Amino acid sequence: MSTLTYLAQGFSSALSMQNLLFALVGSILGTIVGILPGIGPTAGIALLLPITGILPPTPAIIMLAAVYYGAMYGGSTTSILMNIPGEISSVITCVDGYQMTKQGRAASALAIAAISSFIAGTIALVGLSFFAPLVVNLALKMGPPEILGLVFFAFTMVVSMAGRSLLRGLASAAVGMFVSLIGLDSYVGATRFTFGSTVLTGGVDFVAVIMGLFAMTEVFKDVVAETKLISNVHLPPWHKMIKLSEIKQCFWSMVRSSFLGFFVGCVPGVTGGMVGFLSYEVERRVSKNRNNFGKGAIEGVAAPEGANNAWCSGSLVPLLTLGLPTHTAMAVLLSGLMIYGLQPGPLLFETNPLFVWAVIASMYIGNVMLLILNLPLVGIWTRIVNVPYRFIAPMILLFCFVGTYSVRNSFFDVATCLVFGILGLLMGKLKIPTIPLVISIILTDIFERSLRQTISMGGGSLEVLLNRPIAIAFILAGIIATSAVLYLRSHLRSGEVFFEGR
Amino acid sequence: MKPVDRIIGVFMALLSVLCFWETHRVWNGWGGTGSMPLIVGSIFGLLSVIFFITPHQVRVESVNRKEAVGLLFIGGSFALYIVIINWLGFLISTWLFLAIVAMYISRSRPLSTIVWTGAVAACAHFIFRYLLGMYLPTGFMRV
Repeated sequence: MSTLTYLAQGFSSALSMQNLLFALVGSILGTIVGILPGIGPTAGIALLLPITGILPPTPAIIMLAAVYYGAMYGGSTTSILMNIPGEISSVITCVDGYQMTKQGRAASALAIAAISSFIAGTIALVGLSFFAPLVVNLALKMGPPEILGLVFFAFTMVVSMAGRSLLRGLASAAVGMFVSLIGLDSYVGATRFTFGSTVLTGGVDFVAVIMGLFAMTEVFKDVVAETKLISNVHLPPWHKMIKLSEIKQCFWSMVRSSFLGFFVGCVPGVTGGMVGFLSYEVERRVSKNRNNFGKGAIEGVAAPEGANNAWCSGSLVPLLTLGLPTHTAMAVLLSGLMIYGLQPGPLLFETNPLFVWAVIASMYIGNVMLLILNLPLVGIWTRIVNVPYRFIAPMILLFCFVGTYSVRNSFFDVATCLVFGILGLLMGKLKIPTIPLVISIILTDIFERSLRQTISMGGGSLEVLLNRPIAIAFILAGIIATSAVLYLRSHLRSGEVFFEGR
Repeated sequence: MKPVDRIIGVFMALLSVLCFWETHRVWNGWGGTGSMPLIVGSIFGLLSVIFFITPHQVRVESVNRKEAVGLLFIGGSFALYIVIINWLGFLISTWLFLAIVAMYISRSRPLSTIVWTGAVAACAHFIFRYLLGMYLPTGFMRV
């Protein structure tokens, strides 16, 4: 069957009442998650994981995916109105977005953010629909040595792109690898790092780690200063928010950011903050209006907002086709899939095509929903930031408890969540990035499996790799990319800003 | 060199020793159960040496008193919540936990806090237990 046929089947499933409802719920929750500073898409999806216990896989994953891309829409609102990014990928939107608000052009900025997100999101979804099957065909021809090379590449990218220091990134990844090894060795049933404890035999639950690092850590950080944000901007009716000439002015910015965001999203380790910064820098160099960047240029809002939505769809390509999470939100989505016994990778497209294509089709629909939610209803969302933190923090902690407890009915998992919450806070203070830790937990299992299979193929050695050019290419690409990142860090002043996503 | 890097180095060295000890315990040849602990132990070992000998320019933040107290209070309350939930059950222990945390954060309005946290605990109990069918501890009152 062709891609279009599969997509049509996906639409027929995504357009059912149940799936439409959960796409809408996910879009609304995602917008709220994006607007509220302190809760990113990763924590948002993690907090909703318990819901997977009562829903069938398709509506549950449709909802979790909608939370993810909905957060990208919502993140721009507080960036533009209050100079406070709702989540990391909207940091750069503050630069020109807030300037536009100060000039009395908040409505135009909000409208172009929503329109650019919609256009770029849709272009990237077309890319996902047609690019993913090509990657699947390629992936089906890959054996353990190639997968080993690919995971090595992913490791090097994640470690080198995260945070300020390569060393700290590697330390974080090593801790993630260590955590992943705790429990049963799935090949021979031997226990590792359990110290005779039966509780540890089941391993460290990934949901507990995520909840701790991303939800609980945020409470620990924000509890000191209660959030008090008030937006007093009055917005015109939605059809008067932006002029057609302004949309035309941003058209090519939106197209460029769509392609850039999509392809960069396919690369492991690139964060939303980096994508926004990259697209902003590209636009600042090529735009006719380049002199106004930093002073309220509308393209300075359109480009990063478009790019971060396209990045969302781009990062689904390696997740769905290869089972590789490129960043933390994807790792949580992967764990959601695995709760249902769905192992992302090339075989998922063969064994569960209706599920995969229904999720992809729902994203087209979700994009339309989010455009509607973010244009006429933007005034409602701005009021959400006024909710005092004393209401939000206890609720997050309650969700942390229920979310981690519900997976295995284990108090050990809840305690693990608390430990990782404290660890996340300490890592933040020590400038050790948490992203490599989380991604490593997922990648280590794939890495170990392919390593052991490769060694078995080579009769006890890794020499077989030398006869596999694709595997060698991935390994070399990883080494070259790490060297390039190290060079950029030491030679470019803007490198520091880029890698921190500031 | 910042002393904090040395502490990280010590931590990495300890983890390295632990990994090598585990490698020794489970070793059944290259490509077996001990391969990954060996690789991870080697990475930790390498990192511990580098953290000791290489000076770094990364500026770390210290935990101020207010943050430490907040961390201890919230973290301690959460730990206590895990301990008492089996005895008091989900509904009452959640109410207590939410009320304590909310009162600590807001530092005022105890009566309204008790009311809204009670309502939230009751709603959460209804949603998770009856609507979503989750197993939640009932405590000695079997609620």
